[in-house]
Amino acid sequence: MSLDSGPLKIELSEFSIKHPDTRLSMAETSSPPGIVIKVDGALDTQNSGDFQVVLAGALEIAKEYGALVLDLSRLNYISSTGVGTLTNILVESRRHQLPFFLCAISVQARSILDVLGFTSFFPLIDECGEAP
Amino acid sequence: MRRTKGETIPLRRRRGGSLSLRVALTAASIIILCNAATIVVQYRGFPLLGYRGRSAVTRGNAIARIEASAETKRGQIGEWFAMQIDEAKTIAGAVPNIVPPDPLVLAARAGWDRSSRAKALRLGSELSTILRNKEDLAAVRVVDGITGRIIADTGEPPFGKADDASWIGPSANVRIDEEGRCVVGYPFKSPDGAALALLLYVRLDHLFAQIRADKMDGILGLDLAFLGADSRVITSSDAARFPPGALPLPLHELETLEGGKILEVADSRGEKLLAGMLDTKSPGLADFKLFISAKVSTVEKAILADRRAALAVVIAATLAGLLLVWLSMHRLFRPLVQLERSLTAFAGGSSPPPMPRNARGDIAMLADAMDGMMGKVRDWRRELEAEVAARTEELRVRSAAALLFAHQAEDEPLYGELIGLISRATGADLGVLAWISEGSGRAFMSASGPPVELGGGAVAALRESAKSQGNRFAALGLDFPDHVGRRIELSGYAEIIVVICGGEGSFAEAEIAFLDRLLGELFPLMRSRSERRRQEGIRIEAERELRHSEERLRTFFEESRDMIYTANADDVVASMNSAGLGLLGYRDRFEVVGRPFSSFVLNHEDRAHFLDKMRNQGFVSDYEIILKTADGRNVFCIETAQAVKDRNGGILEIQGIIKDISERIEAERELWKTNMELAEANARLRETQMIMVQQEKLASIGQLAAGVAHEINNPLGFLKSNHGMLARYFATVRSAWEEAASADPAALESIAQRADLEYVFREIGSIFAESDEGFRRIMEIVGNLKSFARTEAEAAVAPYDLNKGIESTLAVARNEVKYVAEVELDPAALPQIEAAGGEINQVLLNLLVNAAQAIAERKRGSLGRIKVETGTAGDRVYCVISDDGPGIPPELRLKIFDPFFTTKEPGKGTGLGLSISYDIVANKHKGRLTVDDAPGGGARFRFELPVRHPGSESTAQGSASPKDP
Repeated sequence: MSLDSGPLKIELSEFSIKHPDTRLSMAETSSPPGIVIKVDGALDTQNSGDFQVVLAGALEIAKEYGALVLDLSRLNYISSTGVGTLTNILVESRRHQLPFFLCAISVQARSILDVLGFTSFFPLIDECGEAP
Repeated sequence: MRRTKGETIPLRRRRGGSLSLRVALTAASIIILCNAATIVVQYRGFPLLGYRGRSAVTRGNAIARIEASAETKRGQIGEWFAMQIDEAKTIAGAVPNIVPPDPLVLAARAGWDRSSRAKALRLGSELSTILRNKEDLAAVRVVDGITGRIIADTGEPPFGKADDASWIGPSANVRIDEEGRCVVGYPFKSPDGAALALLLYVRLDHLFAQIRADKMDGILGLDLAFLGADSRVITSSDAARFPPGALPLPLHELETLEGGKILEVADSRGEKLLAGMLDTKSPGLADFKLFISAKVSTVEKAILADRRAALAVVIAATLAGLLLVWLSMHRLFRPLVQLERSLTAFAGGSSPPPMPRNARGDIAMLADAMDGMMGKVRDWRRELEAEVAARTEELRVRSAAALLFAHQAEDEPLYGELIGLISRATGADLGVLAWISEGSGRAFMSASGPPVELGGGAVAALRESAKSQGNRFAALGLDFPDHVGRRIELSGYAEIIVVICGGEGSFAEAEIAFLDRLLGELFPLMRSRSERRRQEGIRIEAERELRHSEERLRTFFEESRDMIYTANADDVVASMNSAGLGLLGYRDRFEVVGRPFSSFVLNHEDRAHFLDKMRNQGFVSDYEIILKTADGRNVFCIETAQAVKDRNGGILEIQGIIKDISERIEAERELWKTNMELAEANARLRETQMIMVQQEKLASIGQLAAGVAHEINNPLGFLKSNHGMLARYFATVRSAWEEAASADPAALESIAQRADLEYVFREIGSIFAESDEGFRRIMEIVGNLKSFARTEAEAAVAPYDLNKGIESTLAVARNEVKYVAEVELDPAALPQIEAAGGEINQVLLNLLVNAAQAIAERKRGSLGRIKVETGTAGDRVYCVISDDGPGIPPELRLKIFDPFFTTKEPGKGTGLGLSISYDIVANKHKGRLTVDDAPGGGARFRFELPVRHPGSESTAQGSASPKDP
């Protein structure tokens, strides 16, 4: 199924409309092979619930592509609820035996994970190459 | 300019100077006017004195006047004759309409018959009818234009008569005939083109009469004469002096007038004339002249008369002017001068002299009016002075009252003194004032002494009286015959009641009016004071409420268990409650006030994000933030804040409440951590489970294989032994037969042919060979089963070089491989490992043979490709064998390592190779064997072996599931 025309694209658009301060975009990656969801904005109490729903759908789609990557390079704020969302997705990915990575995590998000002691749980990568 | 009594008021002198000067100017003006009138009269004339003005005759204008008259007459003559020509034209045009003239022309030429006669007579009759309406015409005649024969006449019948029409020419003209008649000749044509002429006999006397009557200058006594071509008189205005047929002047005198100028000549009697002879300038009248003359004596008389008249006018004008001046002086200016003196004296304050009595008319009226006015002014002055005195006193009282309001801060003395002031000003024996505000009030009374305050009952009584009786306060119980009261409502909640009392008739209208005016003036002051008192009360109450509210807010601020803070627009802390200080670990408020709030935040970016939200939406709700305490701890908090903004939307202040949620975060953190650990454990558990299942499977199958091998091995042993014995026995039998056949070939030959022994012996050999092969295969299978089921202890572990093992295995598998694929080696430098070399080689052999067989299944025309590469991965070495065969479908990858699973045709494989390989790698060496798709298609097998044989390190973590990619 094409990423540009699938239900995940619709979910991303709906999320962006509902939470205009945080924009989500997706692409196919080559290293690691899979799909990447790029988060531009904040993950806070108000939008973490909807974000988790989007990631659950991305998880299903990523099974066909290989891995699920979250690009957090433009994440400027994450609350504890947002961290909870990431942990939930990590647990789900383990359950589905789907590789899950956090890519280019921002300094702010990294500090939150460090403070919470969760950095070691998440596989971190510095960059993910988008598929041509 | 302030004036004091008795001071004179100088009269302002207006422009124009004194009255005498004005009188002199007036006189001069009158004289100038008279002279101007004289000039006008000289121009326009004065008929009463017979003065003709500009029309007066002088020596200089006499000749011009005669010339003008002549020119006028000349024009009149021309017009008159033009009119006659038009008349002729009209009559000529009417002729054909009366009678066609052509037959008459013929008749006149050829002879008249009865018809033509009748027509001619009729024409003549009609012309006579026309003639009756024309006073200027004496007769009309129509003639043949060529022969001159008369065809119609208003006089005698025309038959056979002729007239001379040759003088007419192509256009009308005029002549005097032999009989002295003036004839206007008009040529015309009949409708048939016959040349005709109309002769009009005009009356010159009519012409002359018109000329004489119209625009004749009677002053100069002009005479006119109409002269013929011979200069003799045809007709004239004075037949006695200028008889018809005579020359108007002696010929030598006439000759001087040929130029048309007016000259002085003498007539035949020697009388001097101013005369002139002019042509008529009329077409057709070239032979006629106009003679105009005036007697010199007549002209001179006219001149003299005009001069006398002019002189009379001047004299009359001068006399009139002098009369006017005298009248003005006597009747107008003298009384005015007297009047001015009287007014000046009056203005000066002295007794004015009496008004002029010799004045008449309006001046007298003015004088009488001035007398009356001055009397009234004296009366008004007295009244005004009395009024001023009263007003002054009143003003003093009002000023004193206003000063009371200005200087007296307290109401009690104010209203007490006020009623005293009012009582004195109105002459009251007693005055009462009640001042009531919002239901309660006080009353003061003033009599002869200082004001005293009345009891509360007086206020109630006054209010009751005011409500029930309006301004009547008789029920007060005050024993005074006369009283005046006023109730002044200052606002909806304040009022003042004033009552003044006195003897009978104490209060006239003036006093009452004064009281009303005074109260009216004081009303704004009273109302303002009352309102001010009320506002002050409200303010005091509001301040009290504000203090109470501030106290409540301060308690809320300080006693809150959560941090409450305020910051300015730059996010600098302005205030913080005790809970906030405690949360941050500070004791003194000054340690936090004045510092940026971001200095207490772990991540400045979080605070920047917070401030962005504040600017955009004005508030932030449930915003998580990590604060740093003074001692370096991180505290998880949640904040709700709002921005106070100015009119332009700029932030003035940030007000926030921050709650410590560290406990909740810690609980959540533990929960998440537990979930992730559980997920990890589940993943490992699943993997372990799969390995254990596989191992269990293998173990079960291994046991089965061992049992089967064991059961088959024994019977297989004695079968093979018997088969060998049988083969040897058969060989003995054949040898004996061949020996017997050589002894008696003839006898055995037939038996051999009958039994086809040659074929039998050949087939028996094949059978023994195939049996040998079968036995070999059965033993191989049994050997595999044994291998599959044998224990670890059967394989010896020794240092093993994987790359060399690959080379030796390739040599063994060369026959299987070389016809189907090319082998590419990519070995890396590997350390020696501890392994059962033979078993590892077995694995290599199995994988290589499988790859070659997979490539061979595709049956393509070219060789396939098998790539073998090695490398290290941490403490392991790995080998990857990939081919470009059909590959292994994903759904089969889970099964290929199961014992007896094969995709080959029955008999082509036992399905044990990969399961044995898996057992060797994963179980016996604690490595990993996996399969996936090779790049470019085909299958790719990879196995890893630890450098150091685990030996006693029997742990499941080293074994990877066959399903791992």
